[in-house]
Amino acid sequence: QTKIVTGTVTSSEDNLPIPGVSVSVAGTTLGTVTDIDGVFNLKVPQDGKALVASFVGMKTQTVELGEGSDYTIVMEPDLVGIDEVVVTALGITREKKSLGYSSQSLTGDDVAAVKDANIVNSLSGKVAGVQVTGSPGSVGGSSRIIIRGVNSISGNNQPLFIVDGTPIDNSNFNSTNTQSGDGGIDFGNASADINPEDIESMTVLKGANAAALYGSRAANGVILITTKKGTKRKGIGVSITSGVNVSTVALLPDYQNEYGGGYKQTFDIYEPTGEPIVNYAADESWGPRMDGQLVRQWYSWYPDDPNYGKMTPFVAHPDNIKDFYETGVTTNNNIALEGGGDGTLFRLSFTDFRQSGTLPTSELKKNTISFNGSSKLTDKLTASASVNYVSLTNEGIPGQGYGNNAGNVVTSFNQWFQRQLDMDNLKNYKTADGIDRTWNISSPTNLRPLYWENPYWVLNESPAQMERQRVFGNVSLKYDVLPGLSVQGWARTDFYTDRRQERIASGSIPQAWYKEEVRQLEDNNYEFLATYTKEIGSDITLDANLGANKRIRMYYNNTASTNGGLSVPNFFNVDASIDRPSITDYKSKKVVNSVYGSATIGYKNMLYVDLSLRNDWSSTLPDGDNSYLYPSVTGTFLFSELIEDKSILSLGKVRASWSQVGNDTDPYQLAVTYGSANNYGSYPAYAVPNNLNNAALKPETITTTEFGVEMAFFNSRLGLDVTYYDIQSEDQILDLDVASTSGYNSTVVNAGLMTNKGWEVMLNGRAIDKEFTWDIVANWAKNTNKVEELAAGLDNYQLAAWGPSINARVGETYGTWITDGFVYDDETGQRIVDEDGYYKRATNQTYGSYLPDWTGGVTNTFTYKGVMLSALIDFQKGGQLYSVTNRYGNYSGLLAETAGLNAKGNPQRDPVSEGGGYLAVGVKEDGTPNDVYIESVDYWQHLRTRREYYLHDASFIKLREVKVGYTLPSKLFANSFISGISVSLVGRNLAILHKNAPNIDPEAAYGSGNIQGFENGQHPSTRTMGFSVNVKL
Amino acid sequence: CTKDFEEINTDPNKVTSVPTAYLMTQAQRQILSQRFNTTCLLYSQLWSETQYTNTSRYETAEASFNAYYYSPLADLQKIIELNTDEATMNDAAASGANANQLAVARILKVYTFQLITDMWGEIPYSDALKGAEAFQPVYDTQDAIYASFVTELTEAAAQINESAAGMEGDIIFGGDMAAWKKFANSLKARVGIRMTEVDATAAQSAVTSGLAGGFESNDDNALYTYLADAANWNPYYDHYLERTDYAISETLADYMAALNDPRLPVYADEAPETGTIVGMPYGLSAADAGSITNAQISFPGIAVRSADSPGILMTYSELLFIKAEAAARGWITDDAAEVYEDAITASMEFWGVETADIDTYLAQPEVAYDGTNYKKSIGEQKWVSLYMDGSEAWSEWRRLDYPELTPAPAAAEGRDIPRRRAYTQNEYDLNEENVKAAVARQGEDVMETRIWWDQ
Repeated sequence: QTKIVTGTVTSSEDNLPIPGVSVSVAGTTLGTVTDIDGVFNLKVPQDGKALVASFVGMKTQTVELGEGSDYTIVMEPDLVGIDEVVVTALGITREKKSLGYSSQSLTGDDVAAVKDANIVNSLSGKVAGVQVTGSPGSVGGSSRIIIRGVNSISGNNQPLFIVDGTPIDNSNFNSTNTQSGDGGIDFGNASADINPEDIESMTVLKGANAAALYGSRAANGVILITTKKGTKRKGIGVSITSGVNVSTVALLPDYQNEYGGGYKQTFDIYEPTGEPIVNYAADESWGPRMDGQLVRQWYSWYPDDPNYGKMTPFVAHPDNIKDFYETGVTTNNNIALEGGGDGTLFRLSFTDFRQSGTLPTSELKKNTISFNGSSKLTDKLTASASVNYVSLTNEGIPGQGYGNNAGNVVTSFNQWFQRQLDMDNLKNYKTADGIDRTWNISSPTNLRPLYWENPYWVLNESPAQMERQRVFGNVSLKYDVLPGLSVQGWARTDFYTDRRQERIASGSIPQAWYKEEVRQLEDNNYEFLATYTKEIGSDITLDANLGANKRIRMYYNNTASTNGGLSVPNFFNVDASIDRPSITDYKSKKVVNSVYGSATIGYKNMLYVDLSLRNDWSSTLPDGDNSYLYPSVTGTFLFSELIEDKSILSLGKVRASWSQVGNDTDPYQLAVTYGSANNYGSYPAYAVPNNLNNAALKPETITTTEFGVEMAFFNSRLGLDVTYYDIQSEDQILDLDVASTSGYNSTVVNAGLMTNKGWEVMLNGRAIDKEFTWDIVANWAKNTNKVEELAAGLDNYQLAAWGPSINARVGETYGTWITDGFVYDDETGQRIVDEDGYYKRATNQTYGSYLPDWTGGVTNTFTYKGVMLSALIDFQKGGQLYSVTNRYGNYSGLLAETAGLNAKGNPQRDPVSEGGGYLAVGVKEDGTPNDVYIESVDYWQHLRTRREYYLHDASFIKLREVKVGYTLPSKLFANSFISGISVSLVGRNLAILHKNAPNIDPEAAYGSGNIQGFENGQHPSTRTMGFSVNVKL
Repeated sequence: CTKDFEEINTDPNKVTSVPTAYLMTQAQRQILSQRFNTTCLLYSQLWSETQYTNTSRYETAEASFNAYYYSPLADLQKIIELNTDEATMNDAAASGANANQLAVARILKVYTFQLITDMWGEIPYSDALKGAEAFQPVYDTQDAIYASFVTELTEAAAQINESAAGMEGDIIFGGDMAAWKKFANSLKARVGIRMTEVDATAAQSAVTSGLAGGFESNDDNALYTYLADAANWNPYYDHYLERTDYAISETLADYMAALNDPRLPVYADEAPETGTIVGMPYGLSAADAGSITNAQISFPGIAVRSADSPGILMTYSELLFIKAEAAARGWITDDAAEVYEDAITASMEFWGVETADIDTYLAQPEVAYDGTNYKKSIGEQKWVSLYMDGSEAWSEWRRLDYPELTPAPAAAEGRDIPRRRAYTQNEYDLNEENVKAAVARQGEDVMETRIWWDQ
């Protein structure tokens, strides 16, 4: 016996109808969603007691069912998320208050409004315990995200991205050299393909508990993304969003503008004419004062130059580097169609994203087509499909780090340069004959580039580029067996082809070269899930799931690069290789089978217990040790349910959870094999591998314990959420470094114990709640990591080195720096200086970790009559960053520190004998203050091998984001075809309010892997400001 | 549903067994590419840095020997295992008779280990290359290592069977086992002569027995032939395609020019500005080096930096210098002066000098052998003749203390010419106890500490 109930759902804020609200009959699975007019129709059993309406960002409303059949439900905004509905593992929507672990949600607007090409950057500062490290100066560059620190010593530490249930690959194929700042191209991380315009909501599941049901890949947490779906409505809804923003260079090093290129303060003489000449070969600026003396500058030797044969004044160009950069422009256009009738819903969206960077020539284009549709084939059978197609091209990608194959122009500008150079002269970068015109000529009579080409030559003639074509999504069938019981099957895929091309033009300093890398990745998941919901009596609810998954991951890498030059100049094709090309032909396959189950038992909306159990079988582990079972249990107690009056304590909740996650490894770690090398003539060459495989591996285990308290006060105007967690990572599978004298560099072992313990605090509140509102959302997190043990007899694992090394060292924090530095006097704590005036050098010293001590962010949001202003400030405390820009910028006499006056008030670059020189601040061996001046150049150059000096505190406070939004009153176009217009202004990375690292942005990533903390030839970070309009038809 | 897992996890990208010849090819290539040849050419002042003078100013003490071990030595050790293990030796014999493969691998191991111990002093040797059995190998003292070198070379030479199949994949001698036998003996003489200052008895025994079966002409030289393709060309050819970091040193150029040495135009090109051969002053500060342009100095000659210029492991000339010293020390009855002149002649012939020019050169009184100070005569001429074999040139300078080299004028922190290199950070991280024990025996881990045979 049923009756039909109809109704309208409106917002308490503006009395406008809300589409897409879930309306269900309490205690049943019967439900629907409201249409575009906020209207719903629902069959209700005769004994139905109440209607429950829920919507993301609103308090859930319950309305008693009475005699009538037409109801108006008024939704109130949920100030601090007490009644927030969140999407949890397996896509199950739950009330947040019932969760026994920490999670945090963002709406699509939170990420879409900022128009960042990389979705990872949009999370920066918004979620407690989430650390984002971006590469703010590079178009398409990598961003790394970690949640609650680092759990794996050598493996992946980034969370799993899930879009509508489909795991999204976030590989980063940057080489170790790229990541350590040695040099290479940063091609970015693959989750950047996710299109912010299509996101409905994001939930960050922080702990392994939340992730137990996704298997070991989710051990580092999950970024759960739900895309926008169609809603039942009249006609077709059209939404158009257009945005444009501009980016400019926000930070350049502080250069000295007193002395130009050379190694000494006098000019050499060109004997044939007696003219003074610049030392063109020198890529340092310890040269003569830029006082206007007439001198033969580099361009005066080029017959096509207007100043050919002439002497010109040797003067400073303080803005020479600034002049090199351009204004970057990003445009973003999206059109989405949506609609739905009886039983059928769809949304189709197209996005065109284009971004040009501040560096000349760099340009990224990304087109996304997204389709979501579902249809009720019968009363009980629903078919759905979600398909996303992404086409990405990134052209003119600059080199990163100290120097890639073609060179990094920034390394020249900030590490090896002549300060008097003027970009106007350099813009004309090649002669009519196509010869590189550079300042770094070999000599007046030999114009061949010595170490540095013209920067414009590198960018224009030797560009790198990439393309990625990607399809991800799923098809599914769902069958409602009985009320409360449904079964569903999915086939999911994430499939892409990633092509990268690198070039060195003919006529460059390095030999002409071309490399093409093609990677194909297929990650297919076949999933089955049965869900059962039951209300037992009036007090107990049961939700149970039983699932199975088969994952097949296939990866191919085909790379070819030329050797011995190009047979036809600038014919960039592997066919042009003069010698046999180098080839990589790699494929790998991995299969993981899983079964899992979970159950949630609720009692009186007050007590909840969640249980889960999963077993995986992985092809990567040895026969007999390839099966691993892992459980989780969580409990939630809403003690505020015991209190009748909620006006003071609106919500009070304690939660506790414990979970384990097992983990496998990469394929092919078990058997000993040989690696091939280039042939010698007709002799093939093979080598014993440097890494010794291990046939006796077992699965890794990560155990997490978490406690939390959530409270809300004063009718939910103030909310607090505090979490403590303890994560123990054991038996990690890693390539542990061993002494190479054993014949191997490393060996695969199960090793170690690493712990992460931390606190997360989220605080939100409404300071003013009138027509004018002011909301404050703040988060703060502190993680303490410790490497407890590695393998027997081994206490150090090196992650990477470029000069200093970063290490997992027993007893220390992961990412600990080891390098050389100063010797300190025990009594005064000062640096010890030797009798010649140089700092004494200590080797093999430990200097803290690249991991921060704590991170957080504060968002202030103000609204008044449809106008919204919000500002996000985020911050990081601690973490050590090694800056090669500073190291060589000083070594080469480019940075401001290396010029100016000394402590005596004389020019530091004057000879010591004339009162110049520099005094190393410290004490002599006997404890008395150092008084021995040394030549300024010797001072700055000797610091190169006191690398501690260049380890900087990476703390920062950044004004990350400012948004102004305005939704036009709907009455303005009440009688037109337009149903809504909103406009917004957004600024990103507007200011670094505080930092301790000189000359660079302390946020510097060259990859999204574990190799972090190296800064080397960093592209200057940019500030972005833009405008966006959304029109709904 | 896990029954196909083993097949899925079988690596399609790599092989589980290869002919030992392939390992030998790679081992030989890697020995050449891992040598610190440039560093040693600089320390012995045969070359000078043109602009970035950090190495010739002795700036960095630490150097890593890791690549020697995990690359050529691991491959050579694997060849020995595969030819020794009864389960694999039959298959391995497809690349040459087991005994001959063992001999070649042992000889090359000694060659390589000598490069290492001569640079660092004490090193892991007897406990090295054992994989999982010893991830932290103990260090051996140099007297023990040198004693083992003699034994290894003696046994290797003895086990060579010239009538059985030679080593396949052999770049150095193309599987000519008679040539390997001569190299084993010549190397034994090199090992022996190094011990003169610390164990004259052992030195005499090794040198005299080595000389008896060593090289007989330049045809016997142990050379690594580079090929004209990018994967196999001479590394200096590669270097000078892009950079111009090294020139002939003023020390060497001036010494040779004073004696009108006909090898000088082979060793170096003319400086473009003067049309004469001008050496680059050694060990200058950047300020001083930077004022000298590339047009004013002489770069190494085309003979040593062509794509196919050979890599030198050991020459007949070197063996004759050892013989001359043995004669000077009275260990053999040959006339030291005569052998000394033969040694110079062999070097000149190796570099393509005409006989008449050799005679003219030798006729100069300044070149004549000085029996009253044989260390000076031999030291100077051997130094000139070891051009492009940096490690041997630096080692023999350290042993003989001739020629009298002046340390870099702008030496970092006032250092003297290095007598060794220091162990790296990495070694202290991974094998701390053993490296510290070695340092405790040997002396402070700095460049100034003299190693065992350098007293």
